[in-house]
Amino acid sequence: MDTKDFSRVLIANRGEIALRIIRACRDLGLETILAVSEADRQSLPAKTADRTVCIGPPKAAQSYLQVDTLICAALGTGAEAIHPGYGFLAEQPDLPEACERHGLVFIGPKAEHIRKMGDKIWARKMARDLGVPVIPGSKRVETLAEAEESADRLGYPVLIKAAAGAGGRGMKLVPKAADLKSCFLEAAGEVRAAFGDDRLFMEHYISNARHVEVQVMGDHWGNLLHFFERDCSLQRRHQKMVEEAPCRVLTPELQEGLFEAALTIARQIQYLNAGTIEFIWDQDLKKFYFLEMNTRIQVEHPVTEMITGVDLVKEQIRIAKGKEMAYRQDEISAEGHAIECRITAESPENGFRPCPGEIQEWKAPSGFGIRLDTHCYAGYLVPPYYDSLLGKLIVKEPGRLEAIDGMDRALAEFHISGIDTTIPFYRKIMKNDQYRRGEISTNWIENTFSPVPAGESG
Amino acid sequence: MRTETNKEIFELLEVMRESGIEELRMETPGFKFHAIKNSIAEPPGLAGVSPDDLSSRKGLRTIFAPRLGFFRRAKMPEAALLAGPGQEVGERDIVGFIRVLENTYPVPSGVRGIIERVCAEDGKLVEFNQPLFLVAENR
Repeated sequence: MDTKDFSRVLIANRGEIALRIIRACRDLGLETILAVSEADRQSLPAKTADRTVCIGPPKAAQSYLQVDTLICAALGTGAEAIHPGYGFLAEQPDLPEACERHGLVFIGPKAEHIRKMGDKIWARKMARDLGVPVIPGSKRVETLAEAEESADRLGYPVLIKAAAGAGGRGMKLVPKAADLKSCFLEAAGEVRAAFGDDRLFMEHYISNARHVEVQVMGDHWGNLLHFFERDCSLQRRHQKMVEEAPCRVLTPELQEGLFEAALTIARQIQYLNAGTIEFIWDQDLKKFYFLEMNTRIQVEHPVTEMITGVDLVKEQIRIAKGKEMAYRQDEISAEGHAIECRITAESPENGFRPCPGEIQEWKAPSGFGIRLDTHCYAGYLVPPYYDSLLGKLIVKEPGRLEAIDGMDRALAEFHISGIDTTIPFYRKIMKNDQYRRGEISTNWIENTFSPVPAGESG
Repeated sequence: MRTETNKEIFELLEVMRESGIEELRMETPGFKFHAIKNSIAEPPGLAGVSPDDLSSRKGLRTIFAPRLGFFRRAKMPEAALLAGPGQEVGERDIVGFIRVLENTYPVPSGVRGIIERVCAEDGKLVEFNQPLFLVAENR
């Protein structure tokens, strides 16, 4: 079901985003049912929701990724809508389709939006057909010979990508021709196992790039708005670590071009609810290229909220109820500079190895311009089954340097013991002169803090 | 406890949880680990089941819901109930069903004994691991 009024929402997620959604629902007078795995029964979101319903064992494959179980949980508890948050089932078209079949409202885009934009090959073609620049790339490559031919045409280094991949998953960087065979075979095996869709394509790798993305939102009344851009260039192994808004390297003309390109893509598919159009900004050629669209609320949405003053999660709910968005484009303005650090339970000294365990001390920063979105507290046992995000520390100040100083002060005040965290690593970034001058790129963390730490990213 | 060992401890506990292992002892230089599985853990949100029923009576075992769904005490609406108070059940007997949308999953007893009490209402939503029956175990 696309839209109807509702008063009770089932939240199919966990951690900080579950709490974020519960709070938005509560502000709007909606009841909340939180779906929890056995490992999350005693979590802060579970204690905050009006009711919890245990959907399965700790492993996500048996709980948070079970579409039928979540639908059944919603029907059995009288929920009329489901909010998927981010991750888990947020970009699986099966969930909105199942909601439709069972008369539930999915607080997000239509299944067809997720399906279309989830196919990176289709999305690239659509953007190119609309006149939006895409990174020079290939069509689907099925054999090593095709990969060799495409790589020679594009020029090394190249990226091998999965048509169904997202957020850096299923991606392989091929620095030179001698590495192509091993990378191609590895990628083919990995994507088959990870996505059940083994289609691969290739793109030229832009080494001096920034990752810039535009927040968009569409409602059932034909309104489609942008909420300015975010700079998410600071990444480790294609996983975002620090996000900022706005992106300070864009001129007003470039910014407008980016917004128009984002809205053109979203308009083409009559996009509904919250989405993000991602671009790569080539810092050498001073050109931007469409990268992909994420059809969900993003982890980093708070930096946009901080500079625009718009509660994006509440807008998602308004849209799902069939209401018109509360803003017109000319009523949305960006003011100040916001930075977000993703604080994770990882050990930067040990290759960012995940560090689940009990939080013994938790002293959070506070003060003017500081926001902390978290589900953690002293005594909380960080489970090993999920991603290691402890919370998002967001600081807003009038200018970028003031925001960096504010973030450094907030990080210095943030004291967590019992587990290792990435707080000391973020302090190094905030003090780095290159970062402070804005001389960054998507591989800046790996180049600056070499040797590249071993281990899996979180 | 060193934080780098936490993940391994969680993994050990997970192996225990998923297996039939009731108790696990491990000792290496500078590290000692001892865990005992609690076979009658009290799940939250149990309407109508007093803690006394679960903990104080010797030999009483609980049959838990193996998944979330709608509890059915018979396979078809008009059919006879599969299990009720006073009835003897074997480990492999099916004592109910969990319906999840179009799919129906059997609930095996897993215990041999006499059913003392039915803890969940027919046709209502049951959560994962919610008690369905209390059984006086025959050893």
